[in-house]
Amino acid sequence: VGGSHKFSTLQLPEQLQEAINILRADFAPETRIDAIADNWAYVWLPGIQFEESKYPPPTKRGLWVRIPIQFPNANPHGIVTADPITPLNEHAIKGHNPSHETCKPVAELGGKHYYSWTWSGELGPGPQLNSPRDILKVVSWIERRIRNA
Amino acid sequence: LHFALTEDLQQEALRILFREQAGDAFRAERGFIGIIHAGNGEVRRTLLLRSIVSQEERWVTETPDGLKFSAHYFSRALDLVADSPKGAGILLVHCHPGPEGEFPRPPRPSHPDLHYERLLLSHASRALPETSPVAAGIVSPSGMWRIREYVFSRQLRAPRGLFRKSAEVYQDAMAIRILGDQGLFLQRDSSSTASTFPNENQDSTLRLWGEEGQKILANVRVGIVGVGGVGSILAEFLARLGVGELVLLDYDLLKKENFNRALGARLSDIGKPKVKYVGRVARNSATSKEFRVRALRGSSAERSGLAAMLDCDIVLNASDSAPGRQVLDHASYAHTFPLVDGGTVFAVRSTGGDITGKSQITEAGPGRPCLECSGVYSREEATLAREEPEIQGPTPYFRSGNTQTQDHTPRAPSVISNNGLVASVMVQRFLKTILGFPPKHALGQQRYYVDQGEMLWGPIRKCQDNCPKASWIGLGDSHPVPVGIDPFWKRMQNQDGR
Repeated sequence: VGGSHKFSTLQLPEQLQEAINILRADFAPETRIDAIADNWAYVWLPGIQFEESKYPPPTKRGLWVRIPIQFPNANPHGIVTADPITPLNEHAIKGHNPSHETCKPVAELGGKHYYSWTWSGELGPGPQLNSPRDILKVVSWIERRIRNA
Repeated sequence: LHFALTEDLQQEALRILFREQAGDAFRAERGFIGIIHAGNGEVRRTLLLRSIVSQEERWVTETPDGLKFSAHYFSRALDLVADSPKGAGILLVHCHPGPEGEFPRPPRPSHPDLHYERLLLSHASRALPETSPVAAGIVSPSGMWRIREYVFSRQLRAPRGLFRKSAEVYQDAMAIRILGDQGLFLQRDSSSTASTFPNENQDSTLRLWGEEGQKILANVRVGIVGVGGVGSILAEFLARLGVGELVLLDYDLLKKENFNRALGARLSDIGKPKVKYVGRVARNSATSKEFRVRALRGSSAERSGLAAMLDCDIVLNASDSAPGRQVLDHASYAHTFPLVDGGTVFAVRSTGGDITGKSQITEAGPGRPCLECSGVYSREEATLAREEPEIQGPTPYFRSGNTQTQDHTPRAPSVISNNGLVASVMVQRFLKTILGFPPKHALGQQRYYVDQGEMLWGPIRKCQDNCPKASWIGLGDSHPVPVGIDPFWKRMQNQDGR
């Protein structure tokens, strides 16, 4: 699972490029953009924390987060995973759309499950995004969403 | 080429150049260095004054050879450029002293002015990145500007390090735009001014704002985004008022169900681009002798649509697209232009079937609260509206023009009389901004509550404390405006096979 390193980010808006570089430096060097579909960059985040008490192993998994190319002036919307997110108690996760149209850009790389989580979802408004550095808040937001899913 | 600055910077410039000299029989020549950025539209380039570099005692001195800017001052300016977002450049400004109000015309450069500004800028430009703009300006005591931008080609550098004359290209600004919270002052080069008189069509308005006011209207270029129910009325009103040029932007086609609010449309216009018939209506209604209209299919959420709006002196947004609103909101600060936004939303209560709703008209841009802080759109709405039409659900934000093409989504109701009300207030705001027409000192948002039949002023007078938009003023193209792809326009282009 995960994409190719061949995707060039040079044509992308500078703030998004900067955000990806920040993720590579401060989150995980393997972070990369695997696809661009119109306004959306599919950013592969390796090693997202899945809490042991709620989810079966592995506790670190990779997934794609949909980041708008207008970041940080627009919010992330949804994640795509290769395998469904299934908690130990097997309750259904809200916003789960298997084989959804939105998975298409990363379908060849294994993306099959779309979770249509908005930045201002049932957990309340996400943190304010003002600068490329705020991309790090996106990682903690996803981990929080998974923890509370 | 145009030059734009805020009223605050204009006052600061006048203070530096003419302070403590009022009433003196002889006034010394003074100067300063400004930090500028460029903003490029489709056909217009604008230099924007971002800030004035502070100076110490004797950093700018008058000598028998003219005004001298010290190396320390240049050094400080270059440091500031280096610390600015990419694309910053410098503007060398000096004054033509004289009694207050003596020169209502823009100042004219003398031969020594031209010689020294070229020399100084040719050296300064070599210390800057190649894409940084360099320009020279002269200000008269009455606050009139003359601006000239230079481009020095580095490939043609002469062997001794100086630039040959052939290596230099320059362009004079045709117009100056000064934007404050009280309005927009437009100073135009008389050679580029449209002739308006005699014009018997404008007798009634001439009694209100005189020939001067009518000339201002005849020389203003207004952008209208969205030419549906509100936008078509705006075009008609502005053309009749005597506005010199309109730039219309909308990608949608006129549909049968739009016909009941499409001012001036004929049945034969159905199925054709809205901008086409609105352009025709505006041409037929125009009272300005040299009226021009540019009708473009596109979206303000995309770079090409935004570029067309950057050609304008003021933009009126009548489109209900949240990403389009967000882009214009950003651009109005970064590119220093006034933005007037209008829209209506109606709803029928599920119980009782009562009709409720509101129309609102909001001004944004430097000196005004932004559309986002005024609650016209939210970042989340702008995010979700960037999804594919198939993925978007019904959206709750303002709908008036009905440019949405998603067939399975119920259309938001629209009534031509409410569209007319919104358009009328938007035009009042336009006249206030351009001519100081009443309500002269009012700012912010006006709301008309449909069920109460009342027009009230909104509570927002300034942006929220954490809003960054005021810090973008004058950044021009150096500010990353959140353009992208308008999914509805893209879908329509795919359907058209364009």
